[in-house]
Amino acid sequence: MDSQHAGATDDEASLAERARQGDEAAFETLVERYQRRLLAYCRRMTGSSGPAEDLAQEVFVKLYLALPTLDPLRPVRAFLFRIAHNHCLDWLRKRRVSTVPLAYPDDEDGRERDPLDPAPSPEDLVRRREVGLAVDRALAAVPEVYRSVLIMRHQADLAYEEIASALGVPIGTVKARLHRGRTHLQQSLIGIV
Amino acid sequence: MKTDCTQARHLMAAELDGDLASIKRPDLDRHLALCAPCRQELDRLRRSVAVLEALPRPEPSPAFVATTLRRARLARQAQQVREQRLARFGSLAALALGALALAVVRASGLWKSLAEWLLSFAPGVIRLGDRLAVGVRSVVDIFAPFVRGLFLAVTDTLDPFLTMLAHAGRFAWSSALPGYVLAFLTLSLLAALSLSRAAAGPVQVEKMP
Repeated sequence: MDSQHAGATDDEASLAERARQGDEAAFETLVERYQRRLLAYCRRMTGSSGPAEDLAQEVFVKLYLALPTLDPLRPVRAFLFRIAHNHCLDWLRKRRVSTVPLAYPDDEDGRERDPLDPAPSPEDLVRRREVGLAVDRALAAVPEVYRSVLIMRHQADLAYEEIASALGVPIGTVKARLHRGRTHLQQSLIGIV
Repeated sequence: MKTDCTQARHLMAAELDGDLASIKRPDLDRHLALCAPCRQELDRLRRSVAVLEALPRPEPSPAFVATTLRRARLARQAQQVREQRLARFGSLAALALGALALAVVRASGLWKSLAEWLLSFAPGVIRLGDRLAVGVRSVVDIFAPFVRGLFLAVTDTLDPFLTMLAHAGRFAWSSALPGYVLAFLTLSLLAALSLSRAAAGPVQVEKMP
């Protein structure tokens, strides 16, 4: 863990402690800080942008209600993603629907562009859209146990320790699941990338 | 060759995790230089990870934070209402249960037995009191004669009152009074229990996993 990461963790612990004591501004800062990562996780786990925002908000609400009983020694980020993981799995079980997206959502297209290529050509946009849809479909075909680790690592940018804490498994298990998840993904993407 | 490929896959996983020890890197490079399938697999794995990381992160709606905070506050209020209802229901249930138990005891004829059972302790309590008084008197006799005088003076002064209390007590035990006293004490206890539970405030029903 580098010093920057350690500093961020200290800051996060201080924010979580203030939020636990009823400081709403601290909780708001936590929401602002993790909304994108959490939304990305819910979006990729459910395979649909429709319910993702609602799920992400529900995860923050659950964190808010759990604040009085929050363990100050436990990183709030890992706890947040543990809630998100369980909440997304519950949602998938209740819906019992395929998570393969039928179309690439318009609200994501063009919002997050490559900073080195701020104005892609229409052909590039079409190509990106096709690849994005293919990756989404390939990701949806990866078993949940591996998909959650893949998304936490490569979309929510969590460290191995944080993934292990969120899922309640050893780091070695996280690495093994990550490797199997990547293998599943690359097999689904043969001929596409 | 097969063993080499299996070992190489472990090294490739470590390479993708950024965990490949420098001492192992020449082994992987050497194997990849000779094994085209492993080279292609590592290339495909790298590209898969790259496209996954390049997927656009969905942008939250502008009202995301405000809506989340509003929902959180509403959820907290709903949780508090639920907890208060639970506390009230618990108090009422305790009161009803106590009244029911009292009615059952009264209706089943156990009332007198219960009163007699409680009264059966009275002689023991009196004997204990006597022993305590003897003990105190002995201590006073041995260690503090001057205190004894004071003690006797006080007990002599209080004697008429104690006698009066003893008469009153005898009258109370021998009449129908104990039953009513017992009923009053039970109801008072139940009322105090319900009030203390209502005043205890909300209980925590949700715990951190």
